[in-house]
Amino acid sequence: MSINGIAYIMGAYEHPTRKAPDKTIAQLHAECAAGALADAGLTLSDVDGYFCAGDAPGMGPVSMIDYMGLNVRHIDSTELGGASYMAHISHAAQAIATGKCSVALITLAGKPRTSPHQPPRTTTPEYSYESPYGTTVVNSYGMCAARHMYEFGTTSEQLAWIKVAASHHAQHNPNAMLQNLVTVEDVINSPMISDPLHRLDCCIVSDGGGALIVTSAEIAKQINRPKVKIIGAGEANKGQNGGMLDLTYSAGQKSGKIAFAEAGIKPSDIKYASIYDSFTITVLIQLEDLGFCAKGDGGKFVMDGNLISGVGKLPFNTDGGGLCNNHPANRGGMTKIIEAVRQLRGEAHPKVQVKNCDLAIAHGTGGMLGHRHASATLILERES
Amino acid sequence: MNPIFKNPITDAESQYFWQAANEKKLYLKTCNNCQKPHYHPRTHCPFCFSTNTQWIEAKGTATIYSLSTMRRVETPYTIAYVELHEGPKILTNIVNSTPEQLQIGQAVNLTFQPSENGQLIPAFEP
Ligand SMILES: [Zn+2]
Repeated sequence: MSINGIAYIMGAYEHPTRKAPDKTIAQLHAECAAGALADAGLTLSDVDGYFCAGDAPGMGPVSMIDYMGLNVRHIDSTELGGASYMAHISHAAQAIATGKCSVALITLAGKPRTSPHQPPRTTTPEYSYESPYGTTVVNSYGMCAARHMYEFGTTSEQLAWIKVAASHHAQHNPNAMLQNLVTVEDVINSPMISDPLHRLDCCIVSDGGGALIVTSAEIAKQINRPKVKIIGAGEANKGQNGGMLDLTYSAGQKSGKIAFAEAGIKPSDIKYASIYDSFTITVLIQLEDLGFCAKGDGGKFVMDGNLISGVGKLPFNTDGGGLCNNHPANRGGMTKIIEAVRQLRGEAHPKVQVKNCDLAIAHGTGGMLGHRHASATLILERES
Repeated sequence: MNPIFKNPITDAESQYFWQAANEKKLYLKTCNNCQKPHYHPRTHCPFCFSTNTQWIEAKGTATIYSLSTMRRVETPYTIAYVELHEGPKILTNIVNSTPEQLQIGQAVNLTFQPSENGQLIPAFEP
């Protein structure tokens, strides 16, 4: 059994807003759903499966299905933080394969920019032992970067190239929150937030959302849109392992292997990569873990524009990614999948469109790389 | 420069740990089934799922595995994973030092810092 070739992404929509003080989170979910349905030429009544994660207000699908007026026979609220949406695509394909639904809607929305304060979850089992030490997202990733530098000689200049590449792409995206081109010097001269990560090593905080439609092969045939076939998916988790931890790699090492095996392809076959970019170090570690280069060689791999479309070997995050474009709900997985869909359809901005883009990867990390996180990998193919 | 410690929230599993901290002892757990120590402490061994676990006192010596100094706050502070003599790497702060004095691989020793309500919190210093 495999999901390879079972289901297709036939609708995708990224909300243009980056700041939405006048909208509710539920409303943004609904606007994204409407956008993705319009993109696929479907209506709300065609949807028979609904997927959302922890960004959905209230009791997730229980609230959102009622709010939007959906009538579904399959519901999934898998919560893997920013990686949830890769898992949702995979689970939708599984549900379609087993006849549980035929048109799946996946939505994400959030407003961390205009309503940033969420109370911490004090009932998590680690909370008692970690909360007194000033754990933040950025110092968690900072520790990963520091260890990677120590073990492999990775430099701040190398990390900066990741942001430089993202900014090269974002300059062509009129919706991107940051459209200015930056240099390696700009990154390493930006204020230090938490060593060794500078302000420009960090992703943006934006309001917004996105949605995707996954359908069966039969329904995909009736839709007059380019077909994006789901050919591989993997999920994994990694944490402190009872204290036997290693910060130099992510759960992507495992999720990537599973996804590539299912797809029957290798990293060198990939033409375009959407890689989760909460921080520059996140990208570097995941590129190694997914097999685009050897462990420890990520610094050399990302240098000299190797991630810039039209310049380097592996065009990445051609919308500008979370580093420049959009990071709605502090969860970058959704927008990663959307840009991969644009690339495979040939609908990315002409300045960043990858030629003959037939195979793409979208990889997400949810949680915190330095504490505990989930990774989910998707491999997608254009069907001609 | 020392961080401002928040009060830890204690629960049924961590109560003993925090009581011991007030007596300037750092406790972790070891498993009587698979013999492996673990941190943070819990009722079920994360390596073999046995509930035959027991508290052990850490010697208090460690080396810095990784660290990061948060700069964009009023009082910068250093968060770190240190590798205990007993094996597990634990999340902590490095105190009584400046970031420039700290590096990965460096030996550090256990110390305790009072939190806002007087609860003692384990930390490490060069
Ligand atoms: Zn055990």
